[in-house]
Amino acid sequence: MANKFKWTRTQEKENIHMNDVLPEQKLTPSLCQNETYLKEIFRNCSDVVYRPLYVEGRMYALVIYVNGLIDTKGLEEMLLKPLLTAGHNPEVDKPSYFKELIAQQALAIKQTALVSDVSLVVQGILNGQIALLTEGETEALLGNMSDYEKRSIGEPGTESVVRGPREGFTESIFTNKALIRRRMRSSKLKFEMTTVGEMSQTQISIAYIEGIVKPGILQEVRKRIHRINTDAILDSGYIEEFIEDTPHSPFPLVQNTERPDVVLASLLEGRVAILVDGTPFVLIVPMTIWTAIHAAEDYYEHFIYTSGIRLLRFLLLSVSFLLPSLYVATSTFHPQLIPEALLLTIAAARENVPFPTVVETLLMEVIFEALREAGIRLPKPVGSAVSMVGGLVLGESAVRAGIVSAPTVIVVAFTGIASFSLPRYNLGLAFRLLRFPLLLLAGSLGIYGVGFGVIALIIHLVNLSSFGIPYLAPVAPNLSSNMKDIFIRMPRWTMNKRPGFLVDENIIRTPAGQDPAKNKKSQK
Amino acid sequence: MSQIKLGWRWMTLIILVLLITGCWDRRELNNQALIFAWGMDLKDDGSYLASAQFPIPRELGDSETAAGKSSFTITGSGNSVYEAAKDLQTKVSRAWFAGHRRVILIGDKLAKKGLSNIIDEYSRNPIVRLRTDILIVKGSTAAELLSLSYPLEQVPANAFFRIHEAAGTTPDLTLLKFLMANASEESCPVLPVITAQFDSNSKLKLWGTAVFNKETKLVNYLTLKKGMIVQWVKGELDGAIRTVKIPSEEGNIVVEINHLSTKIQTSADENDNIRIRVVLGAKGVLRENNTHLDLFQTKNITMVKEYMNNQTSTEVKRVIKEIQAHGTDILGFGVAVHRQHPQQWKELKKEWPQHFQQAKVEVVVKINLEESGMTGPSIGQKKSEIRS
Repeated sequence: MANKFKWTRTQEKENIHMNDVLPEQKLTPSLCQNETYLKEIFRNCSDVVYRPLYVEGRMYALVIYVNGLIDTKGLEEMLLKPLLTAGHNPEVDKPSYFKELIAQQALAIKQTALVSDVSLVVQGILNGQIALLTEGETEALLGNMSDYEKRSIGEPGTESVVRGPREGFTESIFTNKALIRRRMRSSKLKFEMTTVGEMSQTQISIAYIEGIVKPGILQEVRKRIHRINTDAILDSGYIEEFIEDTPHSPFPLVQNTERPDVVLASLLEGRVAILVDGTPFVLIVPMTIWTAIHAAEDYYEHFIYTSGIRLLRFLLLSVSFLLPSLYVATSTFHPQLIPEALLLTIAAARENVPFPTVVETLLMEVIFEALREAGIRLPKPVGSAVSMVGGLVLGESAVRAGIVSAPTVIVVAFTGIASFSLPRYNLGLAFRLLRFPLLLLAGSLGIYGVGFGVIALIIHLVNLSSFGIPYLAPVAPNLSSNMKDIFIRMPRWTMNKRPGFLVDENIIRTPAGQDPAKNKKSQK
Repeated sequence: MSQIKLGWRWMTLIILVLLITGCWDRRELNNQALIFAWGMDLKDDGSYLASAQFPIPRELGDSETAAGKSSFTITGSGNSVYEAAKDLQTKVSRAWFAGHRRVILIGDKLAKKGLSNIIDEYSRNPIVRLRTDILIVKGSTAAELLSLSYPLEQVPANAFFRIHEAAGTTPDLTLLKFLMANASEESCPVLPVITAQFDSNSKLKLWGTAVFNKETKLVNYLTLKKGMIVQWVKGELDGAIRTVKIPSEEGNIVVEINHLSTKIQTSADENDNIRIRVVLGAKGVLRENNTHLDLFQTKNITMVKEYMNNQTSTEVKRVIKEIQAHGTDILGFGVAVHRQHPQQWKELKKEWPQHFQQAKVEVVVKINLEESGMTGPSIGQKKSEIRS
């Protein structure tokens, strides 16, 4: 009976059929036939270059590569020159000639491989390798001469610091791996390579530290990444959406960063990083919500200062979420909660305003969000025009004209500044979005509505988990021994253990007894 | 898909709840008239006169546009408090909001008739705050006082509150204390008294204390000075100034006293005769010396101390006598008897006002002069005049 109402769906098995090479297709001994076949595969691919090598008018070898993906100078030096000289060798017709040539190490190429599958040859060429096909040979030589134009390493745009390393990731996964490896000279740091994307064949690296990461979490990451079946991965955001635990939640369950130091700090806490080729944003899982109030700099600056700043960020987080709602709720439902001098000021400012407070606040919030969005999308030289029009024309004149009241402008502006002060942009976005439903609740039900909204939010948050780790850990569930780095940051010599909810073995980070004050005493 | 469907269903439900019930308490600030002060009077024909003072927000905003008065007062009359309030509402263009009513003025005529009728609303209505100041208006009506303007304050209502505050008490607690004393079986309630002088510049003046009996009828007025002594006996006073007359000298000595302490010892015999011993202690600092005495001399200090204690105890005794005559226990004697003789209190409480009236009260004042200042004799005196 119950089954009747159950909404069942059949698992549709869909595969992407975009490869025109038969998987079992092999190379033939005839170079001409191979050339025709490959040219058919790379039809209209104007970036694929064919470089035939002739002896006495007869083609004996063919070099194929993609223009711009390989080191052309190296190609000339390492491959073409030796081949052209070797071409005059009378033994060139011998079928095993090239195998011998490689065995003699005549070709100075970084990595070489002999393959006989056409699909592997095609893949190799597209990966930035050169393929060397020869007459009478059923195996092609793939040589790695990959080299392409890259952006140089710059300061990360989304996570700048006053003090701390200024290197940020680039779009090249090899550079990114090098940036991480350079800071961790240990064989325990692993980069597991895989490719995702049926057509894009994007390289993805799962980074972790062996002996620290929980095998369960690592296995889960592998499983979820291997589950992805799509045509292309253009940014780590694609991966994030495929591996999230609760995709319908507005809260990000996967952290992203542009900073190698943040990645390493997370790896040392037992997290797993996912590097994606083509984007400077590296994913880190599992994520907890407290990373929203933690910035990289917290660990480089003095701990007392950092603790104060963290408490301030916590306050600002609440402000960015609650202030407009509390303003609307108190001024329209519970004026008795506002001190009378302030109430008189607000009442005086509201006297000529034609809209209800909730409409007025919503209006200003929307305008503010519009200004923010315009500021991001506009070309940089025009950006200042937006702030001028927004700040002066809208803010000042709207109040002067009596369309909005000055307290509302102040509330909205402060809320905006507060939401910008969170170090994690995507978590700030979640709170910024939820502000609007909460504002509607406040405008219709008052403080009761705000309380209702906050309780619903907390219920949602405690239900979330990221790769099996509760989103609010270690606050809920309460693991008080892990609280040294949540609301405040304790000095480094007291935070001697890795977070217990993430790490089982090798939990000691810093052996105890390194308090400099105590050491000084004992020296005396 | 099913999750999205469920989400839609919930959203529809919530929206329907909001729209169908019509449950809409929202009231914009510019649609409300804030009451800052409230007045109640008894008219000659026996009906009530309610008055309310509203600030005018338009006049309080920009200093450029503010020109006229910052508040206005409206009155309404009726046979009950509620009727008077309804009559008042018909004269106001906006719905009023009483959540910020900090001051209630009550005409003395009404106070003499009894407050039990009107005090009920102040503790029953959840919107009205309990932290309200109630003042009795002596010599004029509450409505007259509310229509005065006070140049120093943004809203004149604050003037009543601040004048009371400046006298060294916590005006917020006036209503609460009144209700508590009224509800207790031992004490009688008191309220502060304010007067207005319509001819001079200082228009408002805190006059003293009004004493109520258990039927919440005003029975007696006490001046500010006497009211302070009552507070001292109750243990609520922080500091005071005593002027000591020295009979052998022309002039007097002023002592500022602080660290005030009170001890009430009671005894009750089998015939229910109550004896009460009030011990008042304090530390004194000499502030002014208009006499010829050299106060570096110990014997002079002892003399001053003696005069001061005697004069103070006489004064305290006089005030207690006056209060006893009305049978209104505002001094906390009943509380002391209740605590010290809980068994006998069960009998005593039935006729406590009579017992209070007949109680024999002994007053001991122990003010210790701790500082005499930087000079011994008064500086203005000639050497020959100084008596050591």
